[in-house]
Amino acid sequence: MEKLTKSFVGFNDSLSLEEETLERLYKFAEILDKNKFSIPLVYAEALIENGLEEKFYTNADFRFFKSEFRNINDVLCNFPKEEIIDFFKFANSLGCFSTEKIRDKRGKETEVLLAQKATTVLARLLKTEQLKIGNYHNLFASMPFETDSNQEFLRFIALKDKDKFQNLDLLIALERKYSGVFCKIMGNFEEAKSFRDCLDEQGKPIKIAWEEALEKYYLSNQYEGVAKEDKDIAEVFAGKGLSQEVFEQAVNLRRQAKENHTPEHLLGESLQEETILQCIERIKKQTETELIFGKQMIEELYDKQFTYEWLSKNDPRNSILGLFCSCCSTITSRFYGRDIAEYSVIAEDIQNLVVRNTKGEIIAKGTFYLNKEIGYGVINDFELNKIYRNHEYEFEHGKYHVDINSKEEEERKMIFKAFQRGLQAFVEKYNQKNPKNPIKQINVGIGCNKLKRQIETFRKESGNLSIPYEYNFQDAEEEQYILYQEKSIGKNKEVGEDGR
Amino acid sequence: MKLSASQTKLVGLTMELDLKAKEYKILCEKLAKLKENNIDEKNVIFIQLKEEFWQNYEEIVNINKQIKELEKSKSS
Repeated sequence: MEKLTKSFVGFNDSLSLEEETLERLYKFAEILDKNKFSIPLVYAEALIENGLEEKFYTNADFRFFKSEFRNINDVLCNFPKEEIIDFFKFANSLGCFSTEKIRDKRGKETEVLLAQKATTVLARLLKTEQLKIGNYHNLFASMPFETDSNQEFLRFIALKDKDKFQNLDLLIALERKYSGVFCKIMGNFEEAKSFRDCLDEQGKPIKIAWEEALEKYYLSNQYEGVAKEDKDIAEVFAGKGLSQEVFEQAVNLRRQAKENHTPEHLLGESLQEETILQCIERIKKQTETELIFGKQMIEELYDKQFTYEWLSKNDPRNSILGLFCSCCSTITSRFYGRDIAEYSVIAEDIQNLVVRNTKGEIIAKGTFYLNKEIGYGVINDFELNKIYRNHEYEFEHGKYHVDINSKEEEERKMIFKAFQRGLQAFVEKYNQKNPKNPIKQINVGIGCNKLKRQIETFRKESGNLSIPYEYNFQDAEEEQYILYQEKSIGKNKEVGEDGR
Repeated sequence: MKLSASQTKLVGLTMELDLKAKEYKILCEKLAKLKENNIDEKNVIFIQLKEEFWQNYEEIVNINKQIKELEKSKSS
């Protein structure tokens, strides 16, 4: 009996309690006694009545509340039973006894307990005019006993600007408008919060103000069985305090109109005078479209400063491409380029992919070998006219000592893009014509490649694709990079998609 | 490297479009501030701002026309 008197403020021998309640109180008192903690008897009884006392004391931490509110029971004993119960309901729902760990902004658990943080917040809230003792029953009478704590809500309510709890003010203002809104939001904070993300009139995602979102949440949750498409009716009708029946009537009317395909406007289109702000928003939208359009056109024009061509075997330049691309690929060469030049003309599985500048001059090339049987291609390397090779390291072809965003590097990027477009177009056409044996992969040799910086952003091949020996693709002999790879049947990757 | 006439024009138009995009951003910031301060939309500032938005829009449309012409002249 002594334990009961110590654990439950207001308990005395003369009280006549049912045996079962008394038994449960004993069990409850065991835990409170171990923690040297006491609560008002009325709250303990209310918990028992709702079958929630075990949930309350199991795995609870009373330390912080006990040390922060040493005299709380003395203060509360001057208030009615309902005020005491609702104060504890609020404290419990805030997390004042929770052993949960506080999560940081990234959702990672910290070492701080929710009980500690919630108790500190409650202590501050108690000092406000809105949440001083005496106001709890008014605000939290409708709060269910089982309202779980929510860290996000705690963060929200604790937000302070100078000396004001701005979000508390917001909730109290809403409560004045719609009684019960505070409890509803506190108990369903995640859902209420989600109302901040919505779409504007043009269907663009926007974030609306807390006040507007919470009001929307509350209003659209005032009726039972509100379908998503009827939320707007719920909002308007709840704002006017209309009953469930009237709401349902309105829903049915609109459904009827929709089922009959009744047009929304007599004219078949909306007719409304624009406000100045709406006019500005419309111009803004038009401007944004124009800006995107302009930038796209510019990008295309810049890209098309260099254009690709799969050079016909008939074209006489095939034999002397080295003269256009500053490399050894000529039929008069003393190097391996001689073989490449010759086979470019006579071998049926080789073709040159060239890039021209705005004047139509060939300034770059890649000699492409196609293995039709297995379905792959290998480009020996990409060669580049010397005017685009300024700043190239003398002994390391294709490596340039210029900033990646420099004008020179920009040009090389555009030349590479032209090669990519050429390969992409080739793969698409070839695979259309040969659906049974499509091209599955295209590699490029890195050897003396003059676009090393661009190539090295791709994945290196672990086992090189082979090329007939006589073609002498020396640049593709050592290392190859994968420019295109078909990952799985039916899912073609774009040329260059592998770029890291 | 010497730029061709069309390349020079393209560079010029790119710069002009960038400039107008920056102006547009400034106008958007102005608008956001007015909204933040709850200025009444009938206020003359809003009317002026609307004019500025419109002018900026028309200039962008004009630049885009020139880019389109350039594109046409290149492909013909």
